[in-house]
Amino acid sequence: MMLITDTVEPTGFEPDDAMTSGSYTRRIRAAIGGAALLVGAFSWLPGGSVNLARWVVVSILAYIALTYVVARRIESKRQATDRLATAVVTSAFLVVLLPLVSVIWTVVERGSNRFDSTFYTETMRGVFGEIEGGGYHAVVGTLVVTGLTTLMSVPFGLFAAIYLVEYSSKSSLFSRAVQALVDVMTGIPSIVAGLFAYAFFVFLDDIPVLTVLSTGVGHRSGLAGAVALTLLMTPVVIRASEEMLRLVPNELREASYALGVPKWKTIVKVVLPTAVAGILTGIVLAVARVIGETAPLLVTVGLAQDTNWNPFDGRMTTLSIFTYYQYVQPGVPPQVGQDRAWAAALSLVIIVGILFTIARILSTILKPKGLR
Amino acid sequence: MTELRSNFHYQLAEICEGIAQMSAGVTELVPRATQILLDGDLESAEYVILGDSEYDAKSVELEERCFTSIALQAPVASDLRSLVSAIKIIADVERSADLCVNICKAARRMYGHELDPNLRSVVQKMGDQATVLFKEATEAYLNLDGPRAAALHDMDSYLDDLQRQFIQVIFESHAAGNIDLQVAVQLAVVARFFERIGDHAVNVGDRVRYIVDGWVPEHPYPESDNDPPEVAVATNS
Amino acid sequence: MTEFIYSPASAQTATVASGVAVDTRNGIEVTDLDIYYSDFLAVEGVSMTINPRSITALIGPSGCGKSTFLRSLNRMHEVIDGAYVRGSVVINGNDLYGPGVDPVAVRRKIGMVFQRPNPFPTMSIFDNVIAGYRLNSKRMRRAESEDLVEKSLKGANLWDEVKDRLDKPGSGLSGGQQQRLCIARAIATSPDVLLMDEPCSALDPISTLAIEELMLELKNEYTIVIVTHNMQQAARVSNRTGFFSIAGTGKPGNLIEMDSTEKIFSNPAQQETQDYVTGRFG
Repeated sequence: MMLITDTVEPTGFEPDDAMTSGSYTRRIRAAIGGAALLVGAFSWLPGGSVNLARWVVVSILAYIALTYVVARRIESKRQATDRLATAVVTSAFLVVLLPLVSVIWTVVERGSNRFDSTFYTETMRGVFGEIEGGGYHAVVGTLVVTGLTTLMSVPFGLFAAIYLVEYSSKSSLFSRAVQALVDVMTGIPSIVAGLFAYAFFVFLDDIPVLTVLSTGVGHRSGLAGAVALTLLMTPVVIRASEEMLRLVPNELREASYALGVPKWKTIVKVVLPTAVAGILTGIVLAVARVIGETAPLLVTVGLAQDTNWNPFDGRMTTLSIFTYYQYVQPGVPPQVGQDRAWAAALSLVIIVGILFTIARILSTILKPKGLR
Repeated sequence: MTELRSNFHYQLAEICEGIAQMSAGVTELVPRATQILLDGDLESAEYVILGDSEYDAKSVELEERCFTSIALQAPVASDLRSLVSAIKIIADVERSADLCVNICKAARRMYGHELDPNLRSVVQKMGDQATVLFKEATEAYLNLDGPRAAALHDMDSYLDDLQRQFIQVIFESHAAGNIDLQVAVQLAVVARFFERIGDHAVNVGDRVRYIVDGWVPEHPYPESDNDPPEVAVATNS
Repeated sequence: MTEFIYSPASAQTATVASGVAVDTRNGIEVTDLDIYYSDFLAVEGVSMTINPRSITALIGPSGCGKSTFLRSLNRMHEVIDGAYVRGSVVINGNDLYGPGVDPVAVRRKIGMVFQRPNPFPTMSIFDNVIAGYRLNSKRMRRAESEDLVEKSLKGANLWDEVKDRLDKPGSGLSGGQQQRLCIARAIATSPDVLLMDEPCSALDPISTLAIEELMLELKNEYTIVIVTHNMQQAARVSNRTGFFSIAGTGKPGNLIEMDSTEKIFSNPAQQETQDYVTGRFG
C-alpha cells in the first residue's frame, strides 16, 4: 500500500516525457536539405571536376546526419529517431529510383534518334551500310510471339490456379507437389526453357505423324519461341491468379452455394468476376516479364531480316533479338546499327508502358465497385 | 471457472437478506403485539406504532432494488421468478407489520378494560400460532424449502379454527357482561388481524414454492368462513 | 443424380388432438442426426420437430454444434470436404439425405442468411436480389424480374430505401441494409424454409431490431430457424427454442432441451438449460 504524503517531490523536467516540443517545420527541412547539398559539393569541389556520384552519396549521408542532430535539438529524442528513420528510408528509395530514371532517360535519349516512321515501316531486307532500314519486322515478331505465348499460357495458368484454389484440398500431397513444381518453374533460367523448346521440336520432327507441326528449316519458328516463353510465363500467371483467387472472401462462395448454385457456376459467375481485375494485372505483369526475353528466343526463333507473320513456319525476329544483333553486329558504319538497336529498345519500353496502362484501365473498369 | 454475473448474484443476495430481515422482524413483532394487547402496555404500543415507518421505508427500498435489478440485468427463469416473487413477498411482509400496528392500536382503544382468562388464553394461542406461521414462512424463504412452505397451509387452518373459537368466546364473554360492546368489537377485529397475518404467511409460502419450481396454485383456496352467514333473501317468484 | 423433387406444396394437413386440421407444410422433422467431419463426430443424436411458419431459435455456448446443425439442414456443411451425416432430415415428406438426392437442388429450396452480410460485389442491387435465378441461368423476362425484385425487397423491408438506386452496387449500403438485401435475395427464390446463422451479430442494435421486426413478419410465410448467441433475441422473436450444449472440447454437441420459448426462459426443465440462460454457465 502506498503511503500518501502531503507533498510530492518535484521531479526534474524530463524532455522525453514532455507533451509539447518545438516544431520541425518545412523550412527547417529545406534548410537542412540545402546544407546537405552544400556539404556534398565540398566532396568534389576541391578536386575541380564534378563528381556526381560522390556528390549524391555525401549529400545523402549529410542529410541523414543533420536531420537527426537538428531534430534532437528542436524536438525530443524520440522524434529525432523517428525523423532519422524516415530520412534513411526516403534516401534508400531515392537511391533505388536513380538507376531506374537513368535507364529510362538513356533509352529515350538515344532511341529518339531513330524514333521515326521509317523505323516502324521498314524492315532489314536488303539493308546494309548507310541505308536506314527499320524494325517493323521485329515489332511484328514480338507481337506475334508474345501473343501466341499469352494465348497458350493464360488458359493453362488460370485453370491450374483455379484447381489449386477451388478444387484441391490444401494438405493433399498432389496439391503440395504442384505448388512446389510451380515454385521451381518460376526460377527456370530462360536459356534452359529455350533449349527445352528447341529440343522438343527436334523431337517432334522425328515423329513422322507429327510432321504437320514441322517448323521448317533448322527447327526455328515463332511457335518454338512461344513454347519457350510459355514455360517462363505460366508459373507467373499461376502465382498471380492464385493470389487473387484466394483474396476472394469465402463468404461470397458460401452465399452462392446457399442459393443452390453448383460449384463450377459459382467459380465462373462469382469468383472470377470478383478477382478478374487482379488476375488481369497479374497477366500483364507476366507478359511484361517475357516480352523482353532474349536468350530463349535466340535459340528457338533466330534472326530474320524480313517480316514473317506465320509462327508455324520459319524464322522470325523479335525486338529483343533485333536489339542484340544490331548492337553486336552493327555493320559499317556502326552508328547506324547502334541507333537502330536503341530505337528497338525504346520500342520495347513503350510497348511495356502501353501494356501497363491498358492493365490499369481495365483493372479500374472491371474492379467490383464494392471493393474499390 | 470464475463465477459469472457475480454482481447480479450479489444484488439478488442482498435483496433476499433484506426480505429475510424484515420477515424476521415481523416474526418478533407478533408476540410483542400480543403481549401489548394482553398487558395493556401503552408505552410499548406507541413505540411499535412509531416503528412502523421503518418497515415502510425498508419495503420501498427493497422494491426499488428489485425493479432496478429487473431493468438492468434482464433476468430469466429462476432469477426472474425470484425477483417477481420478492416484490410480492415484500408487500405481504409489510402488510403483516401494519397488522401488528393495528393490534397495538386496538390495545390502545381497549386500555383499562380487563380481559377474562378465557379470552386471554385464546389471544395467547392465536398470537403464538401466528408467530409460528411467520417463523416457518421466514425459514422456508431463507432456505427455499418447498415442503416446509407447503406445510403452512395446514398451520393456517388451525389459526382459522382458533379465530372461530375466539369469536365464540367473545360472544360468551359479552353475554356474561365481562366486557362491553366496544371491547368486544375491538377484540373481534383483532381476531381478524391475527388471521390475516396467518394468510400473509401462507402467501409467502406459496411464493417460495413458485421460486423453487414455478408452482402456481391451481384453485384459489376457499375463503375463511368467518364472513357473516348468508342471510336468505326473500325472492319474488 | 436424381432431380430433387418436392412433394407438391399443396396443403398437407395433420389432424391435431382437438380435431382441427392444421397445415403442416414446410415443417422439418429431424431424426437421430449425427454430423461427422471426416472421423470427428461434431453433433450427436439430434431429434427435433421444427414447426412450420414459426421461428425456432437455437442457442448454446460456443462450439456446441448449433451452427453445424443449422448448416446440415440445407446440406451446406458438405461444402467442407469429408463432411457427412447419419440420420434423416425430412421436409414435406422428402428426406434431404435420401439416396440420390442432390445437395445443390436441396439448397435451392432452402434459403440461408449468414452472419456477415455478403452481397455479391460485382452485381447491382437488382442483380443481387435475383442472383438465385441469374446464377443458375434461369431466364426471366424483364417485367417478371422487376416484379420479383420489388416483391422481394418489399418483403425484406428494403424497397423504400433502395427503389431509386437498384442499379447501384450492393456493397454501397449500410450493414443493416446489406443484411436485408441478403434476406431479400434469399426469399426471392421462394424457399420453403429460411435458415439464419447469427444474422444480427455484425449489426448495430437498431439494425438488429429492424431485422427482428422483419423476422416476425416473415414467419407468416416461411419456416424460420435462427442460430443466435443473443439470448434476449431468442426470447424476443422465437416461438420455440432449442438449447445445445457440449460436454467438453473434443466431445460432440447435443440437444439438451427443446421447448416453447416461454418455458425455456421462465422455467426450463433441465438444470443445464437453467444454468445457461441465467448466465451461471461455467
